[in-house]
Amino acid sequence: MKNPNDIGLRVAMILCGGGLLALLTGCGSTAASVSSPILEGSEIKQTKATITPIDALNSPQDDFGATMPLDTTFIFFSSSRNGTIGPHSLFQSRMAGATWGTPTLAVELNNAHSNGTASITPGGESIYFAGHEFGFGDCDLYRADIGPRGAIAQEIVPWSIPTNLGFQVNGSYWDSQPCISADGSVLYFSSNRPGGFGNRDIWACRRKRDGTWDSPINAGELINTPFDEVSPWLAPDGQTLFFSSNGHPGIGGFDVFSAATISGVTAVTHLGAPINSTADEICFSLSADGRRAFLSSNRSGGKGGYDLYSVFPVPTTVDPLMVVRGSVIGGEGKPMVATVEVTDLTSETALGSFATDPETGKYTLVLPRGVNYAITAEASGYLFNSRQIVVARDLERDSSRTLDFTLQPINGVIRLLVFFKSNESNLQKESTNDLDRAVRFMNANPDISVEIAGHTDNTGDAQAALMLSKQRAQAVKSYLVGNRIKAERITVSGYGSAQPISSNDTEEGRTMNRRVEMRVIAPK
Amino acid sequence: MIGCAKRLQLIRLRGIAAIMAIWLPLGAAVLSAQPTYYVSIATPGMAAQSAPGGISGGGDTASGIPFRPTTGDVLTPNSRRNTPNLKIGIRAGINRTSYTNDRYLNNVPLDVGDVSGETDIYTSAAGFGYQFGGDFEYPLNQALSLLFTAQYDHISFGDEGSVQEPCIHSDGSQSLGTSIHDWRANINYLKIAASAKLTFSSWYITAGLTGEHPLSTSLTRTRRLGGQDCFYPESGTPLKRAIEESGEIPSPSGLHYSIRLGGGIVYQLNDHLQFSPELTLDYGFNRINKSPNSDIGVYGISAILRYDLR
Repeated sequence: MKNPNDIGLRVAMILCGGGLLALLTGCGSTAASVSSPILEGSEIKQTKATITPIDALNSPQDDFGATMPLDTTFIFFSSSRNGTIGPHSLFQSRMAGATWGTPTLAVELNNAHSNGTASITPGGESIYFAGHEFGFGDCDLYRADIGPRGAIAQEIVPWSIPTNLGFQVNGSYWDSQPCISADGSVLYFSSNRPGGFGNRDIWACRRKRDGTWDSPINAGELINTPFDEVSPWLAPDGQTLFFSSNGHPGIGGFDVFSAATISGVTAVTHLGAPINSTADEICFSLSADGRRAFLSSNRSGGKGGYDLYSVFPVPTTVDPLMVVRGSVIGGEGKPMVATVEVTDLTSETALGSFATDPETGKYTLVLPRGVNYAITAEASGYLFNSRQIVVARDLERDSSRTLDFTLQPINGVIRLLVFFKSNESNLQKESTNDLDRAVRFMNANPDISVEIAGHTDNTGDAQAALMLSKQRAQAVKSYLVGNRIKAERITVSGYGSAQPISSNDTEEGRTMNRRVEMRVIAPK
Repeated sequence: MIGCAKRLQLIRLRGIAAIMAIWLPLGAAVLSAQPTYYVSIATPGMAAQSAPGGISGGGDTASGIPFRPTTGDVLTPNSRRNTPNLKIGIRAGINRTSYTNDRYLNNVPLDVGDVSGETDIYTSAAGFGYQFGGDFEYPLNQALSLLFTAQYDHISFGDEGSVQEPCIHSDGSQSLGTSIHDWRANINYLKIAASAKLTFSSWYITAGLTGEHPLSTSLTRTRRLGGQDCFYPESGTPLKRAIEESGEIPSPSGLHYSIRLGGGIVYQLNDHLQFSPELTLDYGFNRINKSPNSDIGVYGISAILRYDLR
């Protein structure tokens, strides 16, 4: 078995990957000059996985790249079958009884070029995919959000016009096969951009607090080789990255591997047979609930080209997930187009950003366990609204909860998601998510002034509670002023327990009553 | 001197031929691959093992075909980086001009002033100038664009050489003295170029034609007699040992044509901006004036800032 990290192989790959030199010397066929490492005999792990072709979706042409949201009656995939409007197009199918219905073209997502390898968000509100020719050069990554349904049939998803993810992500090289993490914080993809380990590598971008993407970083030499690493897929719990490679020791062609970090050590594992074969296995993916696995292979016995296969059981353990569903409505009670943002309060890291369904205002989030989240709904012309969800590290089974938001108009009142230790008025670092939003809100609306009001429950000494509520409001003002908001735009009040919004007879009610509110009091 | 000029010209022509030898097959391969324009080498694995009709048309590394037309797609890169959008650009740079002339055939030489009795010293010259202008790029596909350029070229070339000229001595006697002629020609062109631009992964080559119209020309020459007691006889009193002359290039062609060959590297700066250092050779194929074989070749290096109108 050849070591792909051998210096000789690296040199050969550098030379043969050199474009014109490859053309002139004929060394472009790296398969001929440098062999991929091959596992043989007992080196090949035999698993009990069952590989079943999805006949209802496969065609004599290529079918690959399945992605499934939490609604497991829906599936998207790429195909070059008859009926495409480009070399590859995105198709969708809805389960009809026990089998998949006839795939239909996702009209809004396709153009006359190659489009495919999609990754859909758990709630199905957004889809990331690769498109060709209309971006910065070669393949680029795009995003489309769900659009108004109108009279569109149930089995067809209405999408908005796809938008290019921008130069920060795409560059002018081949960028394709995206996978958005379940929490929306990280985008994995394959690219042949420079700075990697040769040919195509796995890269990842982290979402920034302002919603844009940070510069891609290479997934590193444990995952990438001088050969090709393609079609990354992150398990919904964020613990395992699947990808295909012809550089790691495999059975032949592209094989599927998993990478996971256990006790601080990252290990890359060949998924063995029968998931892998001597043919190509690419586009391994998991459904948003992590309970279904799909694969694309051009192994013999299929309908032709690449075919879609289901894999059972899922070849990894997916940690229990918290599914949060809800809707965002405006003050007038109507569903609205809003953005739902997820933040890790502990690390102060912006995670995902999800669009609501424009007709129902609904959203769905899948949150891995062990994180203290803030969920924030925002919409133009409205006050933001944040809530906290703590998903315990010892969550034992998949759970779900509902979280609805009612957004107030700009001249309304919001409860700030700020945190203090008991009987103290020092802001804890988890407070910065909402305080920074308040800063941005006041900067975006320079004509308004606000009242910061502190409230307590009715436990303890009333006079002390009154003092504490004012001190906490003052702490919020100090933060805002420290971030260049003029002090004269902010007044502070402490109301103690005089203005409860819930009963003080229960712990839940008292928690509701301990709060700091921001009230827009007047245009300045 | 004639032999030297011819050799220089031959060397230049061989250089151009070598560039064309690389460029033309590549261009032909791209053009002949219509409507699938792209040229690439099959990569191992995915493309090589695709079933017929599969990814990238079932690329076959075993075929050994060095130029395999294939379109890139979501599974296979095509290694092209030409974006499909109109681009406008500004360019500025320096150039070096190489000039050849053959005065044994001349009717109206480039020379100014009195050249009677001179031997031929003006067979070749060179010098630096500058250029600036704008680009408009119209992409045809991911490999090929049409590139239109309008630019202002200031080219300058000159040389010096020794000539035997009559000189007058302080006692009134005359003899032949050695005179050094230092001359320089300047031409300001408005240049229009139309080129095909073939983009590879991060670099490109161009080939096309230019037409340039001289906006103004100038010629300067300084003659300087050597020796201790040797003056120009026509200089009067006080006697002069150096004479400066100036004028315009006589009878310049109203339109000058060149073959343009070039290449550059693309650096993407942000969503819209590209920066490219680009080398170009504009080799004239008609005379710059009525003097036979008064050819120039202009080698330029430009810094180009292109804006992608996406």
